Amino acid sequence: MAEGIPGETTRSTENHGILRRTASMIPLSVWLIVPVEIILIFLLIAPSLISIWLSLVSWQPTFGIGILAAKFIWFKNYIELFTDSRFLWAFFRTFYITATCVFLEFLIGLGLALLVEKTLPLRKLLILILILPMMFPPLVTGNSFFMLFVSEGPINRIITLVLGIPFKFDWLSSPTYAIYPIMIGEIWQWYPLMFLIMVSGLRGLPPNQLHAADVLGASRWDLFWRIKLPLLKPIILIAIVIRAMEVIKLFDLIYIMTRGGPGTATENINLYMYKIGLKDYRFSYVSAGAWLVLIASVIIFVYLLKPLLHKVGESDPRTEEAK
Amino acid sequence: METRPYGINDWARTVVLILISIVMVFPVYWMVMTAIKPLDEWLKYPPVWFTLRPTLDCFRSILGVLDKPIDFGNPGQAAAVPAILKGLFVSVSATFISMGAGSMAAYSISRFRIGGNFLPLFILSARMFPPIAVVLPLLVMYSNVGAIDSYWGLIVAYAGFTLPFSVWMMKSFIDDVPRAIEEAAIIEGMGNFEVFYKVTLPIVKTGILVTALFIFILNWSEFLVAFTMCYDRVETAPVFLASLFSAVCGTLYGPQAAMGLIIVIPVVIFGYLIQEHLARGFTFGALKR
Repeated sequence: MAEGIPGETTRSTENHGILRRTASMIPLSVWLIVPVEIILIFLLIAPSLISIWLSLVSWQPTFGIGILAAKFIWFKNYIELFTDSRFLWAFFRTFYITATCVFLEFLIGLGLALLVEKTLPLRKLLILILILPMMFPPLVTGNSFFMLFVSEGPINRIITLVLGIPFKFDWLSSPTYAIYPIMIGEIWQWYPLMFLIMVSGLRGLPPNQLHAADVLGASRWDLFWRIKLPLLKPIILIAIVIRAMEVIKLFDLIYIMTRGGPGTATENINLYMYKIGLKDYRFSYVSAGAWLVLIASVIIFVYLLKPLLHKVGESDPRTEEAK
Repeated sequence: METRPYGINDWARTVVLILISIVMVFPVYWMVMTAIKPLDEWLKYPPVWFTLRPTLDCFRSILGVLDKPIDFGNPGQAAAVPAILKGLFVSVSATFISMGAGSMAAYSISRFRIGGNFLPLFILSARMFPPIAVVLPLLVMYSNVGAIDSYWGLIVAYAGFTLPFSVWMMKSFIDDVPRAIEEAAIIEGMGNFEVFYKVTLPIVKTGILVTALFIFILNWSEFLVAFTMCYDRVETAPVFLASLFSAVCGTLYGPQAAMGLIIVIPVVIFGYLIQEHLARGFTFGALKR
C-alpha cells in the first residue's frame, strides 16, 4: 500500500517521502485507534453536539429550514418537559420498570446460581436450558409473550385450570395490568445473564475463606450472608448497572406487545420519544427529553458504582474486581 | 470440583431446577407449537396444547414457497426472504467493520494504554445514550448526505453501536495474551504492526471468532435503529416481523411465530457455540469466564 508507484514524477515521490516520514513519526498506537475515532466522531460526538443544539432550539423537520437557522430558545424545551405529565409519567415508569426488572432478575439469577453451585445430576444440561431465553432477540421475545398473554392465550387457560373457574382477561388491553406481561417478558429474557454472572462470581470466590468459615462451624446461612454476599458485592453492582443500562433502553418488547398502549399506560421513555419524535416530528423537544434521561441515568449509575470506584481507587474496576 | 456420590439433597435440587426449566422453556415451546399449528387451531379456545396435525404451511407461506399462500391481507406477503438476506448482508458487513476497528483499538488500549482510562470509558458511554436520542440527530445528519434508508447508512450505524462490545471484548481477550510473546517477537526484529498482525491476532483467533459471532447476534437482532432509519428499501428480518403485527394483518399468530423462529434459529445456534463467553460479552469483558 505504501509502495511508490514507478514512473511517477520526482515531486510526488518527494511528497511520498515526506508523507511516509510523517506517518512513521506517529506511533502505531495512535494509528490503531484512527478507525474507532472516525466512527466515534461520526456516531457519538457529532450526534451529541447536534442533539444538544436541537434541544436548545425550536426545530422540526417539517419547518423546512436547516437546523442552524432554527430559533434559539434556551431552555424552554426543558422547562416545558417538566410540565408535560405524559413525559413525567413515561420517565418514572421507565425507572419503575428498570428497578423492578433488574431486582427480580438479580434475585432469580442469584437463586439459580446458588442451586447449581455444587455438582448436581444433569448440572451442565440444566444450565444450558436455563440460559436459552437470553439468546432470543428482544423483538421475538415480545412476539412470544404477546401470544402467551392474548385473551385466548395459554396464560389465561392455565389460570382457569388452576383456579377452577373460567378466567378470561385481556392483559394487554388493561391500562393497569398491561405493564406486567411486558415486565415478565423482560425478566424472562434477561434473568439468564444475571444467572451466568452470579455462577461465575460464585466460582471465583476465594476457597480458603469459605473453607475456613466452614471449619469454624459457620452455618450455611451465615456463610451466605456474611461471606459470600459481601465478596460478591462488586460483581453484583457491575451486573446491576449493566442490566439497568439496557432496561432503560427497553423498546422492542413494549412496541410489539402494546405500542405503549392502551393510551399511554405502558409508555416508557423510549416509546414516548419515538412517538413524539418520529410520529409528531418534535425533534428538539425530544432531544431535550433525551438529555434529561441521560443525566438522570448517569447520576444513578455513578451513585451505584461509587462504593466500587472508592475501593479500587485509580485502577479500572472492571478488570480489577471482576475476575 | 470434587466428585462425590449424589445425595438426596442433590436430587431434590435437580428436581427443582427441572421444574423451573419447564416453566422457562414454556414460551419457547408455545412459539414452536404455534408455528406448526394448522390455520384453524391458532385462535382456538381452550388453546391446543399439542397439535396432532403439525404442518409447515406457516414457514412455506412466509418464505413464499406455498402454492396457495395464507392470505396475510397486506402487500408485504412472502417478503421474508429479501428481508432475511438484507438483514444478513447488513449484519455481516457491520460485524466486519466493527471487528476491524474494534480489535485494532483494543490492541492499542490493551498494550499502549492509549487514551488512559478515558478512551475506553468514552467508547463504553456509547451504550448509555437512549437509542432515540442518537437516532434523531443521525436522521438529521443522514438526510443531509442522503443516507436514510440506505445500506451503508445502516451498516455504519450498526458498526458504531456495537463498537463498545468489540473494543471491550477484544481488549479482554488481548489482555490474556502474555506480553513476553510479543516482546520476543520484537527482539526477533519484527515491527510493531507486524507483531500485532502476525503474533497477537493469531493467538486470539478464538476470541476474534467469539466476539464476531456475538456482534453478529446483536446486529441481527437489532430492531429500533433499522425500524426508524429505514423505510422500505432496507428491511431487516426483525423489521419484517414487526410489520406482521400491523393492524391490517390481524392475528397472524402462525406466520408471526414462524418468522420469530426463523430469526431465532441462527441466534440460538451461534449463542450456544459461544455460550461460555456470553457473560464476558454482555459485561464488556469484565467477566473472564
